[in-house]
Amino acid sequence: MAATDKTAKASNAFLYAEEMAKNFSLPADPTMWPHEVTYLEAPPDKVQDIARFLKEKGVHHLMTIIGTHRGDDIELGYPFHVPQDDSKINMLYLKSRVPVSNPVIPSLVPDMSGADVYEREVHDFLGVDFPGHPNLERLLLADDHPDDIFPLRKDFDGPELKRILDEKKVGMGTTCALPEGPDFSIAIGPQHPTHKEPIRFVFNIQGETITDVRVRLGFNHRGIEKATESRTWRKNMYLIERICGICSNAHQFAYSMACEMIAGDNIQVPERADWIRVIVNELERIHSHMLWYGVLAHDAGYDTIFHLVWRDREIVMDALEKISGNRVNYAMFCIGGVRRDISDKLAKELDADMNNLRACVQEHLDVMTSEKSFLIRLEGIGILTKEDAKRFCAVGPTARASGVSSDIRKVSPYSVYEQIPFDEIVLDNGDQLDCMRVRIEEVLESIKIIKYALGAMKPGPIVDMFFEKTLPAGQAIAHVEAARGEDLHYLYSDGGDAPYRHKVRAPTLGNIRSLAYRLNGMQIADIPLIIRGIDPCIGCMERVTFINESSQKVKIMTGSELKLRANLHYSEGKEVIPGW
Amino acid sequence: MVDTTLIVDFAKFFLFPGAVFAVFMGLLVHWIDRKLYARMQNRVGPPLKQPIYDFLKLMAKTEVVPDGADKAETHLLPCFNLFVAILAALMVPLVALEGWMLISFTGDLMLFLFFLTLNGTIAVLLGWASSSPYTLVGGARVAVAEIAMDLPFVLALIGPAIVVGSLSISVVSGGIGEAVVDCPMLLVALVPMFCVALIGMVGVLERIPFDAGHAETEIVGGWETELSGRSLAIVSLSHWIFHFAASGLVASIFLGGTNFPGLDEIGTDWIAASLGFVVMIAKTLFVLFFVSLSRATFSRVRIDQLAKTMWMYVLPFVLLCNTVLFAILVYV
Repeated sequence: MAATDKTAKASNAFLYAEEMAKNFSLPADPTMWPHEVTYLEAPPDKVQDIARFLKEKGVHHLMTIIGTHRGDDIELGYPFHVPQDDSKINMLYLKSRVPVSNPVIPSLVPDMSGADVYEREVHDFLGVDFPGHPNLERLLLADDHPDDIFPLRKDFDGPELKRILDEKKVGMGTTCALPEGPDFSIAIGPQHPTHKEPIRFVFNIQGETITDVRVRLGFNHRGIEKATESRTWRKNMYLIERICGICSNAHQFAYSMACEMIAGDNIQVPERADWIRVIVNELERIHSHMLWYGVLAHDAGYDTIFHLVWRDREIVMDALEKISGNRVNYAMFCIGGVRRDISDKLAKELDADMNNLRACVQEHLDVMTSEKSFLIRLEGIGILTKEDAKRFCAVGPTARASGVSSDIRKVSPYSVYEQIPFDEIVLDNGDQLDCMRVRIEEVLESIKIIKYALGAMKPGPIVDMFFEKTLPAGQAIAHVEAARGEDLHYLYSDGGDAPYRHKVRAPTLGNIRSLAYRLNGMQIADIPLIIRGIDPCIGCMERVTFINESSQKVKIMTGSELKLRANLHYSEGKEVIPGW
Repeated sequence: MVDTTLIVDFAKFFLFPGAVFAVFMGLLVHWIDRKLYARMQNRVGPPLKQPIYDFLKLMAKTEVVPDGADKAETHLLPCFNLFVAILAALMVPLVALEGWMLISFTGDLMLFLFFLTLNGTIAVLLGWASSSPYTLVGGARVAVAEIAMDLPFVLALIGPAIVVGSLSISVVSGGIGEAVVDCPMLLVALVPMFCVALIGMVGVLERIPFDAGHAETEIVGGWETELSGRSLAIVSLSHWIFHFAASGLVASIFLGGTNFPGLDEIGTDWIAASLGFVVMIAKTLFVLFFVSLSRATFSRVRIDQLAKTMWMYVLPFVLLCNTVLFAILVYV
């Protein structure tokens, strides 16, 4: 560790932290966490000055705000991306402490617009007040949630909180009335054909032009951060995987990395496990991106492309099934490695699959960037300039389409990504066309990565089994590049068998603020295309069990049998179950 | 003593080639469109009976009318729409025999185009009557699209009428072939006009790429959003009958409808007329094929892009075609 500390101390993050500690006469000097995170503590009244100082130094990206209730205090953590001289980033973790009796801390929104949603989130869950915030309304909790109950405070544990909220019938029977406004209002969501997941936008429109937009989240808020606190480290893997049906693997990746960081030298992840993790992670990125650009075409009324893309996406889904046995939640990860190996025979098959897939994706790219009626719907629509992308702390492909280099695999390499040659796709127009091109070209890069990883994998163990029930005390932030951007998991362990605090910042939350901004001044017809950044999760079952009622015979059908059955049903009108 | 001619006339108007046949063709056209569209997308597509099932299912469903909506209008307008659609279908000459062209007079072309415009107007009114944000936006879009699409469509259809010198659909469809054989130069103007007529037809029928009026991914279903049960069934049925009528019109005007070279010399009038009927249906389906093709090939354009394309490019182009047509008629 000593060697890493030495190089890390030369990092910009540490230099800035030292400078700030001197300038603002902070009580403590910065320290280093393992994995090159600079840690600095500051009193609440200095936080705004520090943010201004960082902004002058070119630090624009606030990752999230992590609130933890501990004893009589609420600790607020502000992790920042600090750009290095070699186009990499380093992490600066700024911590401040406010008393529970009077939780007030100045808002960062005037200096960093991206802090908007994060402060509202902390306000909802921990009751911290942010003077200076322009719009500190409820973001995630239900409208009828009691004002004196803050779910993430340690006043109640999970089951008790559930009992209290059930008693008060919170979130039941409320409706979403359209607010009265000066203009004509139109609501998109919580139920709308455009996005299958519940989120609500209210647009004020004049004619076809949008003059104002308000976002309301929380229709799908399941309290997972609270739930993980009452489950063991290992049980949480299953819950974490179910945060999202599409980037399930990215969440597991980040969570297990954070656990391994806390465990430190107790766990040595074998190299083969890292390669398998990367392969599954990249396959997931491909299937998520293909789903995304298929649905984008559907939103523009271009259904032919939608159907063809989803047909070709089956190659990836089948590949994932061959590796893990599942199409959606792969359950591949465990703390210390992966659960299934990739045999040499399978590796050859996957390599051939990737060649087929590359031809398909290349064709999609050609068609989708040359069909004129499709292009006029994307070009120059919902532009997010580079400055705005930085200002609103955009992440992932959204930021890269606007020219901000933000690929965590490149700027802060984790796992074995540093060994893999691949390009980060950065385009500069920031319109919907570039958002699409970034993703399709990333699919091609991911295919390259998978092919490289399949070749580079060496035989060896796939897991360093971790049999302890508890993890040592400590805290860690792990971030990975999920399909939609940076996915952050923060874990605080008090040495027990469950996390004391577990914070998840999914990439979509990082993009919500800029999404609302870029919708202004656009037309109603552009709404579905611009909102497309929020992917719907579609879980589809590959296997079903059929039971013949008269004979009580049970048959489990495979995917190919089901496909055959469906084709026969539609082409010939027959109800056929082969081999029945 | 029952007057048999009255019964026969009634059968012609009610059964064939009248109302029932129009409904049948509407459903068939619906199936063909969906099947072609599905095959172009590498899907299997619905079975033949699907449109009937869909229609019956919708008829059996509970009809929900929103609180703020005008109840009388939301119930009456769909019926009126169906009435107009069937009238338009009756004007398409399917059987070239004396007494079998149900509505045919000098100027019926104009009446037909008026009915097509009326179809759009009903959509605007339905959008207004339902009084929900989606229907209002959808209705407003239909109004913009209707004005932008109708002019090029009418100006394109008027070309063959000028060549033949008549405003009667059956006269134009009988004379256009001969006129072109006499003077092949006319094709220079007529072929582009046929293309404009196809574009205009896609627009008037609200199909992709010109279906901004009920873009389901943007405004749920546009002016149709609040329709349900019977109203929705009837509105969609009228929509599909209009598909049949409009493509029948384009097939009659530009492709000669029931006429085919050498058909007149075959056998009796009846056999010739039956063959002509088959020819006419084939030509109608040929025109419809382009509607399905455009649906599968393009993505939906925005309403401002639609209006701009029509006013800036298509309308001047079709005016130019008309000028060329006049020049050819006068000098060649």
